[in-house]
Amino acid sequence: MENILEVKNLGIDLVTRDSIRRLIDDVSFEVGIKQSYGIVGESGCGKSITAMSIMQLLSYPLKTGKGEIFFDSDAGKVDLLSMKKEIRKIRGKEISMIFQEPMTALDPIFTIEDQIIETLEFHTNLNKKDMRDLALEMLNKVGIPRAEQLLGEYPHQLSGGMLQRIMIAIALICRPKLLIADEPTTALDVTIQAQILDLMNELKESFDTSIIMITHDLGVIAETCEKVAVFYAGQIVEETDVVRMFHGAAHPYTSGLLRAVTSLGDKSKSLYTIPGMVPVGGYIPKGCRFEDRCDRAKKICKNNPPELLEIEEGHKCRCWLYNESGDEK
Amino acid sequence: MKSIKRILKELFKDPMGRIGLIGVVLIIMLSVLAPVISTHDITEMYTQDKLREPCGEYLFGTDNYGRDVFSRIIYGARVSLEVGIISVGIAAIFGLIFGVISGYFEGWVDNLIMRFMDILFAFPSILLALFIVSALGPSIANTMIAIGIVNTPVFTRTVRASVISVKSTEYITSARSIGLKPASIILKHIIPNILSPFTVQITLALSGAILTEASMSFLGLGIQPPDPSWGSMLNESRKYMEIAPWLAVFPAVFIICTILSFNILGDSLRDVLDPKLKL
Amino acid sequence: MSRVLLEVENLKTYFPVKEGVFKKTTGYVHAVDDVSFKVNEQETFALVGESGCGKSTTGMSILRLIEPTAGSVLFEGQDVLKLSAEELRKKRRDMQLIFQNPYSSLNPRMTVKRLMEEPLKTHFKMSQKELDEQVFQTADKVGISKDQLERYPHQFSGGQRQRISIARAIISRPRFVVADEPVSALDVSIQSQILNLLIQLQMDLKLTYIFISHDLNVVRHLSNSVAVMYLGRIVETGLSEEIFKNPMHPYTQALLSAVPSKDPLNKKKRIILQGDVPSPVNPPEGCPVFARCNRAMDVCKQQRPVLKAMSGTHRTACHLY
Repeated sequence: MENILEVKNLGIDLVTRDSIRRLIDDVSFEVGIKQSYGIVGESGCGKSITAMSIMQLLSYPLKTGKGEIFFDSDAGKVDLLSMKKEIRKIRGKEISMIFQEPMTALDPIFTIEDQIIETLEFHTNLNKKDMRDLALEMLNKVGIPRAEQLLGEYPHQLSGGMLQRIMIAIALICRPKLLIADEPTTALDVTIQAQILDLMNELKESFDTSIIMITHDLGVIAETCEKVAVFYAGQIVEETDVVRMFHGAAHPYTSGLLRAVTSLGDKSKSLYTIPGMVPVGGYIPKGCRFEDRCDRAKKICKNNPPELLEIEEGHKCRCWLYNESGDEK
Repeated sequence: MKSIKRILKELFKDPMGRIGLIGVVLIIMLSVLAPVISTHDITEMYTQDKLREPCGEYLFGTDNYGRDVFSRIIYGARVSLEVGIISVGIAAIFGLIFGVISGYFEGWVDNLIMRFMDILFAFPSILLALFIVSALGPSIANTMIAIGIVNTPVFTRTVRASVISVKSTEYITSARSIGLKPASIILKHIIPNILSPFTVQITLALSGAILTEASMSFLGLGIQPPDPSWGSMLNESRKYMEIAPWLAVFPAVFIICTILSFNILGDSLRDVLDPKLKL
Repeated sequence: MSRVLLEVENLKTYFPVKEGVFKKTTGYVHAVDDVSFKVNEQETFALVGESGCGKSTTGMSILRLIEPTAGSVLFEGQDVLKLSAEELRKKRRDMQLIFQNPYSSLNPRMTVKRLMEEPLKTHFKMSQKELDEQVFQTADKVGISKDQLERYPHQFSGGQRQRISIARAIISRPRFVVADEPVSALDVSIQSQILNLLIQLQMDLKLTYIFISHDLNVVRHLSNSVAVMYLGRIVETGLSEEIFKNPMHPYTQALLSAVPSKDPLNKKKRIILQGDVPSPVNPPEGCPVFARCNRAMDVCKQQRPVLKAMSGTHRTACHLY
């Protein structure tokens, strides 16, 4: 297996008492070894629940409805979705995750030391002293001063930036093959965000970890990722490498987003906007999901959903503009 | 605010809500229709039929004076509900006034009101109620006043806590920033937004009030004979427990069912009214 | 040169820190610490800084939604801080606020129409017909359609709610609006819609804005003047072009360089600020940025720098200059 993770035709459902609604539809992507893979999209596009499903962290009323997620584990290739209890051996050890809110991701009644050791106790058979040494070493690696003293402190005594560093230390302590970062810097200030992004780039090199970076911020993508998938309304609409994404975006949604972001700060022009809003309340258009906001929509887009096709090597796009069979109609 | 129709509809969807709702409606119907349903005069003593077992003539039997237990229980529902509603009404109104003042203005007013409520709270409620009634003299009206006073602190606290949490929301800052007068802020923005916990508290307090009335009557300081009350019926039944157990069983069952219905309804109402618990 | 509409002088807002059973005051949070600036009519003055720097408290103090400790806020020459409660209430017609979070700033139990009528009912005596007319007009201006007016806030998306909250702020025809992070809670594609709306309204209604934000790109786009705040103080202020083209203060420089690049081929060389913002309870003696500054000198530790004029309106508080 040359990829660390392969997601195939993933579908995630919202199950309520009297209905099932598919929120994520037909999502497939691969994350290469040591690659940093970005998932970008607006709120409600399904980027976070996609990430949660990788570790089987979805809870009622969300449920994976179909698809497979292959992971190149220590024990060989496994389908994460079909795993039962064994997935606990993978969580935190081979795949770990960091979240948006470091304040709520740590348990307030335990010290930092307790929380780091907890992971180690479950996944390794080191003795107490070795665990503590490893914890200290990790805290030093994530750039925490006075690590010794900090081990005895509680989460509420520390700032958001500090806690996010600790979260990263806990996530990386078992040297996982894959790190999933769900909006790791959204809750942080811009100067702290810069610190954390630099740290993550640095650690990725020294730990040989693959990263899935989930964010709504195109700047974060540009700073950290090699390959990017753009999500819109529960689907991938475009996937390519980061340079092409910023300099040769094909999908009208991607290019619209980029224009909106890059026209910011240029006072001479009025700000570019994508009209309308993301489909809400579970309403899913029959054809292309972006059709009603798209300035290049054609007749065919209204009633026929486009497929994600490779429009050039390493560049996939879900749009009728790049589909020859759509031209005739 | 959700319309009452929608609240009822959602209550009915929830199996527990349905049980509570049906129970409460049945009790209300019993008390409203008491004159129609009851089979005998409640004070009439059928001296030849003392302590009769339940039968076709006397559905729930008769007591030691030969009065029809069935009819007395039905009229007892009326008394229970009356006492419950009026005393909770007293508590709710005073609780709302004190709670809003306390929560909105804070400072020394808040301190004064809440310390007084703490004092009321410090007494076991039944003891306080008995104390008030023995000071005022036992009667239906005084029982209601006593239960009302006993329940006021709970309402004041619930209201105050809700007011404080609503007050810190941005839409209250928004109302201030627009230049609204404090009175309009309280009436238009705060009170409508505390109605949910308030309504839930009312349902739960109703069951508590009915229970307190029953206990007081059981102890002889609540509803006075010959007015029928489940509590005093239970009290009178003690002496005949062995030869006429139905005298104790029927009032007890009605007390339990009524309390349970109101509690279940209150819990279910909380789920329906609290939008945070909904998806 | 346009007229000065608002003049803030030596504004201070301190919050007591209470500890122990007897709520003894053990110190003060210096949320806003001696802030002064002027806002010209029909211009946008931006307050930028990281969380906890006091930018929002400054905005709220100007509107007296938080009572400041000292200083003065002159609105057309009249000191807002000296107004009585009733005078202030009437003055609010002229000075409005737009909130960051459109989810919590609208009363969930009121329809959009009632929300929009409220400011009018408070400040004007209008017939229902006049009210309706005003509401329709304003709704149209902010992009809310007539048939949505009977709905409740939760039936709208974030962007639309922010439009409602803007409508509520402008319907009483204020001259001055404090916009506290009005687009921070919104998605990128919606942000630009709301920013364009704010700019459009400023021109149509001749509004003066204080725009509070942590997003430097947004600030750069719509502000005429900027003040960069840190730990309750202004460290640098001036015309927007001056600040963004030629930042003088090491903190401003670091802040600007920390903004992620929008081009993967052209990543910026970052100036990384070490550590975290110090506690605003009893802040350090010297320069507030001292502990994190990459160009700190000995003098910075002991002496607090004051704002010094660099060129024109550009002023910075740093011992380097």
